[in-house]
Amino acid sequence: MNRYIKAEFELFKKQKGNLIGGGCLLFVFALLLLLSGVGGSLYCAYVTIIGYVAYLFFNLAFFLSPASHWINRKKVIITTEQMVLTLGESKRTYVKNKLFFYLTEYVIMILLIAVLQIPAALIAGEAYSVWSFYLEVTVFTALVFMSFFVLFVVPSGAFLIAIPGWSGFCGGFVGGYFSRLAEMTKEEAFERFFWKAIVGIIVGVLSVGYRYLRTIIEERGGLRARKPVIGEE
Amino acid sequence: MQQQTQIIEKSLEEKEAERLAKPALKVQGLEKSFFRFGSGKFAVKDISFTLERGYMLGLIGRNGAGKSTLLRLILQSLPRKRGTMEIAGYDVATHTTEAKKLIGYVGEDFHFLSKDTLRENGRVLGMFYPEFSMERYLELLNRFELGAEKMAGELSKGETTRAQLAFALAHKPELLLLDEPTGGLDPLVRQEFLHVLQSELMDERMGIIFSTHITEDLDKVADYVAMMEKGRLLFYESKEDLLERLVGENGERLTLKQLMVKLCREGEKK
Repeated sequence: MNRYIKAEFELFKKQKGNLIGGGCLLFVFALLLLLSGVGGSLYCAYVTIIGYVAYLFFNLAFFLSPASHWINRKKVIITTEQMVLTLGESKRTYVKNKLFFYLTEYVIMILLIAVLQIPAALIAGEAYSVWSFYLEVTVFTALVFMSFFVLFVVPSGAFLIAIPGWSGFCGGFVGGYFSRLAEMTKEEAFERFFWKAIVGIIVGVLSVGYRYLRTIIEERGGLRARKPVIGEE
Repeated sequence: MQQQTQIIEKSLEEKEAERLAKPALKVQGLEKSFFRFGSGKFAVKDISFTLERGYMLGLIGRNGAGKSTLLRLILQSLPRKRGTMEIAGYDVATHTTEAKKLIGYVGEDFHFLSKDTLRENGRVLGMFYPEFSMERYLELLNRFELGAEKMAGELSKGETTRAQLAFALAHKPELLLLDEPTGGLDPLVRQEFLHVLQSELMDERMGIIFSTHITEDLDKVADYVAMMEKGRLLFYESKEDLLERLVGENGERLTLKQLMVKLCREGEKK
């Protein structure tokens, strides 16, 4: 594990407010997932949204730094990016680490869903099906990867305004089929949710790619050629 | 096998010696503009200079002249529009991480974890630097009369500056950037602060850029002086040459403060 990941993780652990908020939501999510077998497919999809909000709470802990200061009696919270850039971390490393943290969180959440399906299946008995798990994973994947647009592309100053709006849009995009899920055949629903997840992944990959490219250009010192200096070799 | 290891070690040592022979900072054609709905306003324009190790550069200029922006560009907390920089022998375009870990910074942008003690701040924030020494940090805190168990959020402005300097020096930087650090310090602490800076320059490993409005401090410690005006570097020369070259209306020697006032007035007339 590189030094910067360890250091950033230490900062993450200091964000107690967001971690408690995310932890509480995760608890509710886990509790509701245990009942997923009883609740049916539509219920599973709705419950996943709570998991997604928990995921965003944890991301906030990575995004906002635990340092803050007061200006004219107003508390100003700075971003982790602002903080680590005044320390010995480069922007490129920060972007890579951020991606590492977000993907690790994603994998942990998927594993959590998978593990919770075992007691859910035991509780539900025959009512449980792999279909519920598939629905949860595709919905969650689409939401998470689409949120990379806000997490990587939107400037940090507009982040707190952008995230509720974008989350709402993503929720609408993914949840649009929820109401019609009961009318769809299983094959139809399977295909539609599969493509939702693929669209989410494409949005996520493009967002990370754009941000990484922009960071490289910034670190190189702009797109234009190096300007020769008169009198220098 | 042993011979091969020795050759590799020797080559690494040679490379390190070569790097240490290079200046603390070399800047060429540095520019930064802030986008304002179609019209780019230059905050820093066409800045080029070199700072050798073991020397201190005093950076002066009026409010809004671009001093802090220049320091933030060197620190790379702001992206530059164009230009190249070499920090302690590393080109920042290709060796950003190596260059960044060699910069020490004291300024308004630096934030401690307010709900933690200075010791805990050293432990957590020190993880960002491979060369960070906790012993050195605690020793410097002690020297600056700061208790390691004091909460960072309870520090006064002057105490924060001292804690920042202790932290910056504890990770053995080769380029130290000071953005108006002495403003909140009482005379005794200010003297100690400047004394520490001077002693740090003795081993000729580090270069310091000291941006300030308190030109009396530069009178005492600066080797070179640069003045910024409207984002440009008005001059960059040794303090002795500058004070010898520029004299008052009656031919008298000027202090840096008088010199700055004179140049600012001349700039206003133009």
